[in-house]
Amino acid sequence: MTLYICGNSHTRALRAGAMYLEEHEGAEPMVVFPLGTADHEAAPFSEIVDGQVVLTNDRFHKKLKQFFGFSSFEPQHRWGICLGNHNSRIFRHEGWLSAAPTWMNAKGKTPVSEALFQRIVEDDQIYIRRFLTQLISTGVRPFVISAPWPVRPDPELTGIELSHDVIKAIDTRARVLFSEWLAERDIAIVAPPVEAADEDGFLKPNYAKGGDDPCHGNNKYGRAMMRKVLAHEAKMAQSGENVTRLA
Amino acid sequence: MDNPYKHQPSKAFWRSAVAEYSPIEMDGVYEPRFEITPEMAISAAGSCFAQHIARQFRQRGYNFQDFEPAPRMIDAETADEFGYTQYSARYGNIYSVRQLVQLFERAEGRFEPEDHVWETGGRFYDPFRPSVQPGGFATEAECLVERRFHLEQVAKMLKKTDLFVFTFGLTEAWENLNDHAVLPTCPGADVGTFDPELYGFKNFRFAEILEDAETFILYARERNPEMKFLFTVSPVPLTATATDQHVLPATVYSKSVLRAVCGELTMKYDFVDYYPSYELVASHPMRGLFYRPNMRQVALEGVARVMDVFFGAHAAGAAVQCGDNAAVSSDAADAKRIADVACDEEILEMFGS
Repeated sequence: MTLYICGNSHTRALRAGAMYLEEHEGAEPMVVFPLGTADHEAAPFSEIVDGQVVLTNDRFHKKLKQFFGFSSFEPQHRWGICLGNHNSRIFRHEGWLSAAPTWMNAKGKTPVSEALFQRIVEDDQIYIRRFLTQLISTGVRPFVISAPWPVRPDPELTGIELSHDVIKAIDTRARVLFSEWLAERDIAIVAPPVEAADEDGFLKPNYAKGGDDPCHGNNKYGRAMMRKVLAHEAKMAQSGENVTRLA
Repeated sequence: MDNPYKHQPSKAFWRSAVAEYSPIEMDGVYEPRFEITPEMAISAAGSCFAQHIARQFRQRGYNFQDFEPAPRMIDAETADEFGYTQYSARYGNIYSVRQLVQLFERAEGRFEPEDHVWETGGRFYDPFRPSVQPGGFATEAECLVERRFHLEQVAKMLKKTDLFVFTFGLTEAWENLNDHAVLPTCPGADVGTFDPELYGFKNFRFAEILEDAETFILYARERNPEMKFLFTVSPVPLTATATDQHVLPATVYSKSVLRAVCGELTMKYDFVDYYPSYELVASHPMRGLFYRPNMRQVALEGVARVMDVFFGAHAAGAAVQCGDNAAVSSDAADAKRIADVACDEEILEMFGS
């Protein structure tokens, strides 16, 4: 069964990794393409039409057709979705300069409770979650491929003056919340490779795109991540889990 | 023959000031004792009706103080749901002056109530502001972190306030019998556990409320000697009474006592003004027009009337650049949000048969 992987701009690194693994490590051909950037996640981008999920975002819809040959997501196809855990969209908000999660007990900062933080994450991911819910309701059995670990921000480049502790606290908790949401719906998620994280949980420089790119993994990251994806798929194949199930 | 009534203005006579006018035409009901300028730093607290007043000060461009603003990464609807933007800090509804006095005592570390954190259904609640965190806090520690921050902000308030607006809500309250901490809701009605050995009903009397109000005024003016006060009485009746009376006379007792306290304070202190929200909605010449069908919640039109009369009486209020948000919105969803306020007391309705 052909593995199809689509998603936001983090999918570019996955594509580079997939092409390398196909050429150098004998991986089965995959179809891996980004559909657009994370900006497109901030508005509704999907709906169910005639029992199948279609992408209502023009760019997404066009790229799905162009790169995959599909107008919709069909249950017989195996999909990896690279959406979610792009938490820089959350921690880059300047509101965090005067606020901090309550579990950090940061004096002088407006505390953000777990419930409020959960709401923030839900609001950030609302359309991604809606898309995934639509997929499983129409019989598609997707799995999620996480965005990379956060890149340690350089304030001069990114303008982010937030402490790394706060960034890490936000990213870690947001990942946990997304994973819990996925687990409740029996959607697997492939986390970024452990070897790509430094001792503080940030993406190691040799796995990051670098330069003025604030968040993406590089080709090395893509290779490491795709090895994890393929290992996940192999495990699912062994257990019969990636056999499509109708809703 | 001359007599003092011959020199009274027309507003002093029922026939010329009330009988000849419909409720929406009645004029001159409020003449401010002092001008409220856009520069005055205004802080507000009170019962649920006070949320309307606070909202209008904000929307009409007054210098409304918020010492505990919402985190900037959440939207307005979420902020409101989590108890932000309702008042000058995230204290929730304050129904009695005793509760108000104790809030500032707690903020300054002079009173640490026995009721620390309530656990209900595995979630944790601040007994003194149970409604600000929907669904409660995840842990006791989280509740305490939030409370510490909250009280730190409250402690900053009075020194930076020129006008304190308080809406008197209720005379009925529940208190901890050991330390007499007054709670905004009856323990066990929504959260917490009612223990008759620990909690007792209190129906504040005129003298007690007056003393509490004067304590607060003194306390506040120690921190800002020029502070002025604007008091009003909420026109919202009791959802339920814990006395053995019918809820109607219980309500009238409550509102009468609170109104009398406001009258006494206004007569005694020239830096205290009273705004007749209660009269503009609940008095009989209004024919109950400004209530929703349940004769308890104030309708959108009632809120608008109260606010228009108030701000219309202040020259600055009429002149302040209001924009589209100043008056009550005509958008249905926004209008409902404006009319609805977070009211802890309404939970009591479910206990009636």
